[in-house]
Amino acid sequence: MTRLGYMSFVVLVAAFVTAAPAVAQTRQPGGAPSPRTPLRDRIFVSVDGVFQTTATDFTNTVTFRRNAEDSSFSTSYDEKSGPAFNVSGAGLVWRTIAVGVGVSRFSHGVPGAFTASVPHPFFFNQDRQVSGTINSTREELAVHVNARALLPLKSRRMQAMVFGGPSFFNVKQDLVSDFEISETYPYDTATFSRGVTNTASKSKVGFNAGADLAYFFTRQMGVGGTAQYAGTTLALDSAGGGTVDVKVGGFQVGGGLRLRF
Amino acid sequence: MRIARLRVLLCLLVAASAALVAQAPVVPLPQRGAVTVYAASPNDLRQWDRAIDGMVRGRELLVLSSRPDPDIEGRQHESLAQYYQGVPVFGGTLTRQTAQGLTVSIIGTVYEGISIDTTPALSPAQVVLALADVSGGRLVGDVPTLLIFPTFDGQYRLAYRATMSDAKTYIVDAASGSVLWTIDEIKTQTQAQSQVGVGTGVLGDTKKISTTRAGTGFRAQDQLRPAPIRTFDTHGSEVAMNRLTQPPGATVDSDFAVDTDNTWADPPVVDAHVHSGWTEDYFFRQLGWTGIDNRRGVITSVVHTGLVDNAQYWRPPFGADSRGMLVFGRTRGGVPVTALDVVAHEMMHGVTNASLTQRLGSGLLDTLSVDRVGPTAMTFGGSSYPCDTTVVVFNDGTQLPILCSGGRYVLWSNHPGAINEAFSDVFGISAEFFYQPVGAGALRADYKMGEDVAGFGPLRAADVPSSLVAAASSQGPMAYPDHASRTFSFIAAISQGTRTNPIAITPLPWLLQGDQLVTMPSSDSAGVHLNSTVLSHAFYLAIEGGRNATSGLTVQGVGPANRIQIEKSFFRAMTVNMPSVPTMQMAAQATVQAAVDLYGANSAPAVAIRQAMQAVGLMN
Repeated sequence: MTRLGYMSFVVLVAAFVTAAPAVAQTRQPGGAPSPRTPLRDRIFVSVDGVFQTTATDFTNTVTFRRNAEDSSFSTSYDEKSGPAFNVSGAGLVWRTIAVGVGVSRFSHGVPGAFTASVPHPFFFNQDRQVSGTINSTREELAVHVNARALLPLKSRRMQAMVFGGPSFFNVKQDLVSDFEISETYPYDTATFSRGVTNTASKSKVGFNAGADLAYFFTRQMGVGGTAQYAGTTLALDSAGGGTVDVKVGGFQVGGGLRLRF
Repeated sequence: MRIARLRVLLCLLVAASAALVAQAPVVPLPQRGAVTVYAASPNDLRQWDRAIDGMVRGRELLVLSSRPDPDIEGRQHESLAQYYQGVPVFGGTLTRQTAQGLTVSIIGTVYEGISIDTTPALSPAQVVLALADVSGGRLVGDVPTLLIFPTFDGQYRLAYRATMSDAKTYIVDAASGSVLWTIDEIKTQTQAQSQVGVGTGVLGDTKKISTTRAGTGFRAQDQLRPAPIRTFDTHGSEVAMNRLTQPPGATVDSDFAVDTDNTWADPPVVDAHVHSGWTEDYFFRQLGWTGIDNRRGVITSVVHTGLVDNAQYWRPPFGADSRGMLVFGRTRGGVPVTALDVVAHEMMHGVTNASLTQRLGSGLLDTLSVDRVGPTAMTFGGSSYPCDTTVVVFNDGTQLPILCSGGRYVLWSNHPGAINEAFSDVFGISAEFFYQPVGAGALRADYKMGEDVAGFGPLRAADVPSSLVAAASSQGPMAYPDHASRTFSFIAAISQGTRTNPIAITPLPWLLQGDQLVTMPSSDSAGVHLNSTVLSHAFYLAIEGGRNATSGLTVQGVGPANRIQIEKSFFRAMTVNMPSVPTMQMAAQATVQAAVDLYGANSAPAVAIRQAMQAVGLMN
């Protein structure tokens, strides 16, 4: 998570936390303190569309041997923010504490900038520089397990909770494993034709933390907004036998349907 | 670069030196009837234009080809061949350059005064039979064709031209069947699935080698270049060499040099194959010429040939698949003769042959030109031998009279051959300068030929020709010439005909210094390598500038940074302007004309080449 992401998260959590005392201090007409409303609902479901903001650009450098000479190519992957889909559910286990599990899926195209030094077929140390763009895709699937704390609010139509816990990530990322060039005799220059990609896949445990605020139109159905961070860093296997560190997940903000039973 | 005939000529030398006998005199007029055409001034051009147009209308000259200039837009080049009653005249060729319909230059030779019957007494089949006896071989290439052959007494003979399997083209009298002239088809330098491997050359240098996957290994077949290159390894097999050199030059897969892991450790294979590729690249990058024939024809080299102290170019129809071939040998010390300048030299022979053949129907034709007329008698071993009465007696008892003119010895040399060798040296040198850093020592660019082959070179030095010994003569070491006045000119014997009616001559390895006979180990085909340094020295002077040691004339060279201008001028001279039977003076004119074409009459390269040709005595 970037510095900005962390700050946003802290601000949101603080807002929810400070909201609870404010509600508790609200007086009923007549000046008598209002008793806390007992929680009647024990199951909470969220279906959200979110926007995942991420700044996890990365560069993968691969060494290769061509024309009897060692060289390397690099691909800078420009990870973009994009829409994701979250479904989660939680069950109240003790007073205002619930245990939840959620699934999020984030899939998007990843443009990349490709550069390579291509050895000359006839002479040593006369590399041709080629560059171009490539398109790859990334697909992140995460299962978030968390503990949730429901925050007391004055109105039963409002519901707020904070949560945190481990996340289990699986990422599939297209990585350039080879490339093709066009070249003609006497081969002094070459032009990038296309990148050949392989899909690298890896799983790793990370963490999640966030907050959720909902407004219920009816007793059981409402809408809500959520803000959470879930992420980790994992090493994808790269062409040429190396690995490349990739940050997955990120800060998500969004909203959707809320159900409680 | 020593010629294949060395052993034969040594025998000639020994026999001839011991047998000088008096006989009757004869007075031929050498090469009467040949008219050298070089016209660059407006007046000359107008006159020759009219004459040539008249000859074309009269079907005495036929336009063989008319092609746009490869370098200059709007220029056109006509190649014309002389005919007499529909029969081509040997050596009668012209090149005419025009710009927007106006003639710019004319260079070549025409023969006048031809008046003979063009009906042959012998049939082509009879000629082939006769030649089979003479050559011990069989006909290769086309059926013998008729031509008019200018003989050395200024007469003309109806003759057949036929190439036999001994790598010689014979000019045979169509009436008598006697051989009038022979042309050696070997030019010597006495040198799928594409993969890129690594090889180690003779000098331990590591370089990339373009190969082809074959089965579980790799073979020396370069398919990455527009003109494919293949390198064969005969493993010293004479049978394989004969199969490859003799038409049809059948090839088999096992001819290829091979390697199991594409890390090549056979130095002659690596150097021959890689240097062929580099030379192709040099021709393409610097001169716009593709491969040997400019038509992407395959380039074939062969190593481990058993050839000693030599490298050769075999002209088509000899060589693998009858397409010509580079043949590389070793020194007596076992060092492969495959250095870059050697390989480039041999490939330039191929370019010369291909370019002239495409324009004029044949490559440079080895012929003898009269350089000068000597004394009436020569001295040898304290005795005097009058030209008119001297004969040469060979080991087999054959006696040949000496050719004289007005009772004087006539001294000859092979100008087309020397031009051929000079231009090959020029581009052997140029390839080095393109790839190697300038300097002395191994893998450094210089003006010497074959210097990287231990025990072989340097063979010739274009910068200071006289610094190297050309041959060990009976008068001691003789240096290479740096001036036309110092060229080697040879006494000739009459090989066909009589003193009163000489038809064909053969050069002897004999020179004259004053009236003293000087014997040489070989005539070098009448000085083809020995005399080449005059032109290659001019090439050096045109680039580097300097003073010719013989004439004392100084040349303002274009400088090493502009060497490409001189290289392009020489290349254009050979591939565009050169006729098939040029003299060295004609070659000089053709080169100046090329520089004028490319850069203008008063340009630095044109001035430098003109000065250089004047400095070496080839132009006034």
